[in-house]
Amino acid sequence: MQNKNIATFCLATLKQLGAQKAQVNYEQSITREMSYANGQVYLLRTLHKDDIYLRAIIDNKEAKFASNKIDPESLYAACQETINLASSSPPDAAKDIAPQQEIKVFHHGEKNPNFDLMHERLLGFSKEVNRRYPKIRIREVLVAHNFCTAYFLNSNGVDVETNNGSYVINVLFLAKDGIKTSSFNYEICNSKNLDLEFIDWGMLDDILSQTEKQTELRPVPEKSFIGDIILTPSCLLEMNQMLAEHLRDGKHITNSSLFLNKLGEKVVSEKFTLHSNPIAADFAEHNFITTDGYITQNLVVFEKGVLKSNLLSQYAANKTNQARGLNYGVNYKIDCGDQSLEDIIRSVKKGILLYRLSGGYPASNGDFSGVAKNSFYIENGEIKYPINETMITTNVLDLFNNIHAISKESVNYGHSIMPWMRVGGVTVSGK
Amino acid sequence: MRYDISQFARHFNLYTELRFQENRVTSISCNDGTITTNTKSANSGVSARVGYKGRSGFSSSSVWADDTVAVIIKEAESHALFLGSKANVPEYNYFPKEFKIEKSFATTKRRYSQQEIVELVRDLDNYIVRNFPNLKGRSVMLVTLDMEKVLLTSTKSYAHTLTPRTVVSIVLRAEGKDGMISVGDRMGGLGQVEDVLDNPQTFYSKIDKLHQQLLDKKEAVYAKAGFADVILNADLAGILAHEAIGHTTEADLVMAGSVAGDYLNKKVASELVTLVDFAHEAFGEILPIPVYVDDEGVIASDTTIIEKGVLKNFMHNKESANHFGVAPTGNARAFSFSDEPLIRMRNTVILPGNDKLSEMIASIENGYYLMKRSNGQADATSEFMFGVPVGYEIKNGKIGRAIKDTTISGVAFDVLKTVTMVSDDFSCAGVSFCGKKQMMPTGMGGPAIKCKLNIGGK
Repeated sequence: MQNKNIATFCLATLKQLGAQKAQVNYEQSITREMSYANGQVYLLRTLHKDDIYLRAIIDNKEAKFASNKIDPESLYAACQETINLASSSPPDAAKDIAPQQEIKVFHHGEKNPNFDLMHERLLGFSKEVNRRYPKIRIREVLVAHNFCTAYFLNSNGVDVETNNGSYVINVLFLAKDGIKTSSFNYEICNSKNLDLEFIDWGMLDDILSQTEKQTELRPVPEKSFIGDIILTPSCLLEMNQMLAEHLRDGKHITNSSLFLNKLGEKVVSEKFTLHSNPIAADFAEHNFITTDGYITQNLVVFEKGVLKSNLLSQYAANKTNQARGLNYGVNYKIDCGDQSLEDIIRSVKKGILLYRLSGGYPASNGDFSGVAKNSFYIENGEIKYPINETMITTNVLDLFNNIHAISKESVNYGHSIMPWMRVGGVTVSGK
Repeated sequence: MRYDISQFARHFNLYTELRFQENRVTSISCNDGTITTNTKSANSGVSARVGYKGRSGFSSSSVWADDTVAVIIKEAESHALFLGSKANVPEYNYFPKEFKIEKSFATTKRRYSQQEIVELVRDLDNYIVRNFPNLKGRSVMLVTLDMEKVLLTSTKSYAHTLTPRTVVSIVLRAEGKDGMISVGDRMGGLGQVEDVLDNPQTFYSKIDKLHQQLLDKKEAVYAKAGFADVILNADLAGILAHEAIGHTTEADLVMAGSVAGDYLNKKVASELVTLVDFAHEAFGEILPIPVYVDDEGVIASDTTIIEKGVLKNFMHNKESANHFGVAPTGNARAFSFSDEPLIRMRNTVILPGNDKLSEMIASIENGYYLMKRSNGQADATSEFMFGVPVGYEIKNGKIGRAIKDTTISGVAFDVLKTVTMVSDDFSCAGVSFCGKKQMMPTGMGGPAIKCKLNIGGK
């Protein structure tokens, strides 16, 4: 048994064993990965993966079971286990599966990696880093190509095949100048192909250059002040994740979202527009189907500060009597503003150019704090020096309400497109 | 899980590690009385890592049919030859050692059905509802992970291990002065659910303490931002040991340039501080993450990282041991069958001292007693950040008001030099995952320590 037959077999078996509603997702992937560290390509891996995700509902009792065994006996046993699990679940009327949609087959990206070019790009990157940034010490570079074929079937007639191929690089490094050491810095980028040299992916060249300046660090000059922070694209991506968390299932089901019943209201700065675009051409990977079986569509999450859509699954939507999201949050894009980064830096009287925040999870009310990493102190519109032992305290809602400017430049990481964003009213504390 | 691994030795042509592994997970969540998650999963497969001239080829598959196993060994071998042919490494020591070890922590009791496990979760939820009816919300989550591995190397190292873990996470929510507040705790550790949840009373008393912390937090104040005298309890001392010191002393990070590389045999902490990564036992007790053999086939040994304030050793795999000319320490661990072993900590702790916690609190005029941590991060400089969701002011030697969620930070090798008192008690928890490239269960803990560091606030 191979390919779609595996999913078809499981769906039929679940129904035969008593599932009133059933869903099967079978994913077959091959990852080829090269690793570079200590001046050498030291590891070459091939990972063959088969993952099967089963879901059954009987009398509103739901069960999910995941396995990576695809021989007929194991598949049958997995279906039986799913049915047994369902009987141990309590009934919940909000449990359901996606309705019938058009039968579709999607293709995106390359099926087979260019192995020689992966190796060439890897060695080329290390040579280029040594040449441009001699103080940089590469901890590890991973380049991987992943190709995944997935079959999604359910008992309502959903029948979708997706084929996705993309490359990812993951680079971890620091700078060393004698015994002076910078913090680790990193970049993760996706791409549909290997057309560009790695150093030109995302913001890699910039953060390598900035990290080289970060071997001599000191805290901000004052014990504590209220100032501006300029979030770099990678840092803004992390803050955006904190914001998006309040639009998802967990926060809504537990009534702890900061945006409960706020749909259609202006809840953040009018400068802020956020898209979640699973199938936009700008991105390396496409996400064609949600985990509960809906064919995805691009959507606007916030438009000029107004909350246009939550990112709720079918279950959370049913549970909380709200609308389901057209997707559940992926491939984020924040709209650019009209000021150049240079002008934005020039407009900061006192603050931080924040490349990375090593921070705690936000509290229930959105408060959070963290240590500024790989970041710089700004005074009177000038970048002064790289900092350490400097903490930032703010609130997720305050952060997105106190936006002073968004840059006209942006960075495409393959998985998200982010600009720079200047935010005011942030507590900055030094030593 | 299959055990007849030896039949595949005939396919070994170069130095080879063959590993069958299955991770079995059960996850049950109860939110405000509703079971929202009831899932099981089993992730299993086989991997081969082949070494040639210090380079490695790796291949894995979830299919463990005989012919597939032969194919992945061959594929790993061809990858190793591809990289090794470009290498110029004169000698590489694979530290051959012949042994056979079997170690299982499976329960000897009757296994519970899924229905019975769901009822255990419901029981904890019912206890919360019965005793604390005025909460705004509550979550109980149980996650079990049974990690079973069979390893065979071409140098005749054989190990079959089963290490289970059961963790219960509880979150309580209430309306505070400025909106929703919450506290949470993770309980449990080594063992299957039948052994870990055999006495609900131990969980009830922890829930009672958690609720008291929630009540205290309703009136919580912001910590005063800046440098402060603090007492870190075992939970926070443990993450300081793991994140801020432990990671910098993993030999792969030392090779990448971590500051610890420049500190070997130098004083890096107060002489009250001794920090050890234990393999499986300490003070006559089995620790939460017992590792007897690592995934490169090395018998695991304890590593004393800091001894009376002096940095003494790093943690090694075979590659770093070759680089530094020392013996590997048995720290190479892989999370899934498809993961290559990396240098990972096991049970990283600060050893207890001679002070009483009450005396430590009494010694602080104006500071904080920090009791719980959420997440934590550190980097090559040993600068760290930990989220602190539960803590209290100390005023004139006495515990005062609760503080709001905050973050602490500092440079660990500086902070450890400020340690002036270490409590005489000790606990080690195994409820966390460490996320260095792969997820990995790790143990951490210690006594309470008194030190100075930076605290976030207003």
